[in-house]
Amino acid sequence: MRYNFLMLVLSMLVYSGMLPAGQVLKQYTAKERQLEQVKFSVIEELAEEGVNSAYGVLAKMGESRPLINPPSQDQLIHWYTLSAQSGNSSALLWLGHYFLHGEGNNAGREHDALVLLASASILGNVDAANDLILIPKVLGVSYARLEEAFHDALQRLSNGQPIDCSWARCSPGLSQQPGFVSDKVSAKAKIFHENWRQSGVVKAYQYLKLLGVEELLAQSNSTSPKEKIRIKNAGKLKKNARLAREKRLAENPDWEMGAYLDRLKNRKSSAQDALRHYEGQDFAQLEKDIRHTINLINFHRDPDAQISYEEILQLMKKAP
Amino acid sequence: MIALESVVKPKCLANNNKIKVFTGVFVVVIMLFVVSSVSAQQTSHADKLKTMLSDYRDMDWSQYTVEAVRRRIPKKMYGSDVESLLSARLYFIGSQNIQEMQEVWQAQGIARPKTIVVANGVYSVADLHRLIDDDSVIEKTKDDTYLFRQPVYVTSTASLVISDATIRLSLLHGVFLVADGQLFIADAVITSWDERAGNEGEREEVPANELLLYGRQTPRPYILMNEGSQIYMANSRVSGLGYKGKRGTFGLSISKRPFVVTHRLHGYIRARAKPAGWLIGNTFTNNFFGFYSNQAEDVILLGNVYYDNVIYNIDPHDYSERLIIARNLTYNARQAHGIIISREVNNSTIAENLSFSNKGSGIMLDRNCSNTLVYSNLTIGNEGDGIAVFESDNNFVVDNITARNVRNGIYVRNSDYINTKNNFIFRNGNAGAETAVVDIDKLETRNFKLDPYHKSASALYEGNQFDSNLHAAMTAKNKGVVTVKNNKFYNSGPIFFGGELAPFAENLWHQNNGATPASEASHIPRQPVSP
Repeated sequence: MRYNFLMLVLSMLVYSGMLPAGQVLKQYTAKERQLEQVKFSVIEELAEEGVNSAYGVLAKMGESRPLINPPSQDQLIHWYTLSAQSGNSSALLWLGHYFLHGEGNNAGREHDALVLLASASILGNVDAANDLILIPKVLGVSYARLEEAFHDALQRLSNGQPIDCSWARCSPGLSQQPGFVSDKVSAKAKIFHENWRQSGVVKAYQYLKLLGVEELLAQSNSTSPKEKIRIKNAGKLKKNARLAREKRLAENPDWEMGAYLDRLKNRKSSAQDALRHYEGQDFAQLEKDIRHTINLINFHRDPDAQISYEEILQLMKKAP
Repeated sequence: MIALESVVKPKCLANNNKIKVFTGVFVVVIMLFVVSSVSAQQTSHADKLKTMLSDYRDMDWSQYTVEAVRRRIPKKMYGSDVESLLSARLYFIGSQNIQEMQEVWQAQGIARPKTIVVANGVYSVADLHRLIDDDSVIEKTKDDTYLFRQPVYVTSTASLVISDATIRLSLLHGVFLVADGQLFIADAVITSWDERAGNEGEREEVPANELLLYGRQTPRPYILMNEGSQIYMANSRVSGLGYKGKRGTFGLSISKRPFVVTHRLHGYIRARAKPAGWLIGNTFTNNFFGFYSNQAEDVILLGNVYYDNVIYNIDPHDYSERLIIARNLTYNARQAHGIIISREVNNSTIAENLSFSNKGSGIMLDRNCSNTLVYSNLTIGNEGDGIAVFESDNNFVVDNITARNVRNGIYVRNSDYINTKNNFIFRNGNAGAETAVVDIDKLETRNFKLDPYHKSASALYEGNQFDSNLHAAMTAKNKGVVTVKNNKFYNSGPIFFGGELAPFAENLWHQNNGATPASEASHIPRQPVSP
């Protein structure tokens, strides 16, 4: 009896929607989350031991993996900043996008964001270069602002400082090493600047295109005839494989399915016979309503594209 | 109660009485709760229907004409930010879409495919042709006829105007048109184009049962409107587009992807609003789908003609909202339905359409669509049902004429609170209206987590006229619940109430209250069954 009573209460709860009836989709098992958390802890230890690039990995994991204790957005920005400080171009790219999105109290920092992305591209990040090329097109940022950001980035990197907390307003808790300068970063920036000067391209945006996109284009133009034939053949092979599979199916059909489809195709039921029999009188009865609906449709059509009742009636009569 | 008493021992009689009283009170409370919720539901249904009907009837149709769309087209063209970039670098327009086209590009020997990126301005097709200035990319074949050999991507900072022009999208070069910005199309023709054959290109033969399987078809050109985009299209013709791909490749699609947290450029794109548009007075034929939407909002389809499309003529899908699909002509959908809305497409109106001779149903509501008004449509001679409501609660089917369909006039399957009112249900091949619970647990093609359903069906039939339906006026299967009120029944035979309703024919007749079997409307002899 107690069981009956409990069932009654339970059914009432389900009915009233107080208990969700198993509709929650579970994407990751607890074990998977636990495993991710362990991996995360290992990287965290590395970072704490002073491996700066580990901060970038840590932030990326925190952003995208199903952790038991996911870090806050401020924490992620903090880690990206630490990693970017050491000249990690991926961290600069992601940090730039955080700023551009205005996340983590970073609204209205478009210029800073562009400087970070420009820094990443100067340090050789092709994705950042690509994004910088597309940002004016996709987000409507002016090319002049991009140019300005690019010059700021180049100057900062030449001084060996990918991140300057007095300028970048680092998240709370970040202790910028005083006078932090990376020789590696400044060397890279100088090489970039030298190459740019030698290229003769005046605008940074144009030079970036040359690096990020046109470089790949140049590769495609230099594809050898042999390579072109190989690519073409690969496409043909792919198509041929599909055609062969279809041919196989046609030669060895699934007879049951074939028969079923044939039946569907050729079906002529008694209902269809009856409908055919009453066709004339039915359409006479429906004519007024069909004409009315056609008039409504024609109201929204160009005078040259009107449809007529007679045309529609012919089509209706053609139906199986 | 019998079960309860049989398990209680005599020495516990006092306790037993207390429990009996408590359980009795509890059951009464539950019943009151159920009754009040049902009655509240009915009241809210009536109000909702009234609002929806008045909203629709009060629409100012004069602002939705071909001329109105023409007036919206920007007159001033400006900008020069048009260039051809590597397709692979446009990672945010849909990596799957790019990947699928690889087959075509590779077959053409295009190692590094490029896409025309249109940004920062308003451009006509002639502008694109002038700015690209390369006949191997955009070729002007005749006056106002352009052949595109590279895909086009209109960014959110740009608008593209296709007016009084014919656009041919090359089949061999894997061309598509994707827009995050605005697209204005008027008095234009957009087709796929096979340069070798000099026509829009034959569709390859694919067995009917494989048409919706992924990877069976060579990609064809398509138009895809992404998140934040808007399309205004009038008096134009779209043909030969679309194939079965992963996302929005079906012909003309308006689609938003589920938002995924990401901090590169797709973050901005995907966070944009749901796409919208007006399609007025156009013709869509020989596309894979005539129209497709995914998470679109406030799209208006008016006065369009859809015919001979491969699967569906009109197919708004996945969480689209507040659509108006009105005054369209849809016929000869080659494999399935004339108009179908599917997967939580809510608060939409399907009205005054003429849907006939489709392979499936004339109009279908599928997979948890609710608050849809199906009003004053004509569904005639479809090979499936006239109007089908599948696994979708709380919908209104009002003032429609559904006639000569091979199956039922109205078919309600696994759907509750369906209000069918004042419909003329005439000479359908099976029943005038069928309300059924169907076990679809074994349906392999269905994801039940995404599309849950319940095994119950209930419909109110009020003020309908059932005339000459071939098997029965009304039927129910597997405990489908039917409520009838003030319907008129003529000549349906051999019985008015078939299936599980047959034993309750007399009760239903009384419930129907005032309906009289009359034969004066037709010369066909009345069938011999009358409750």
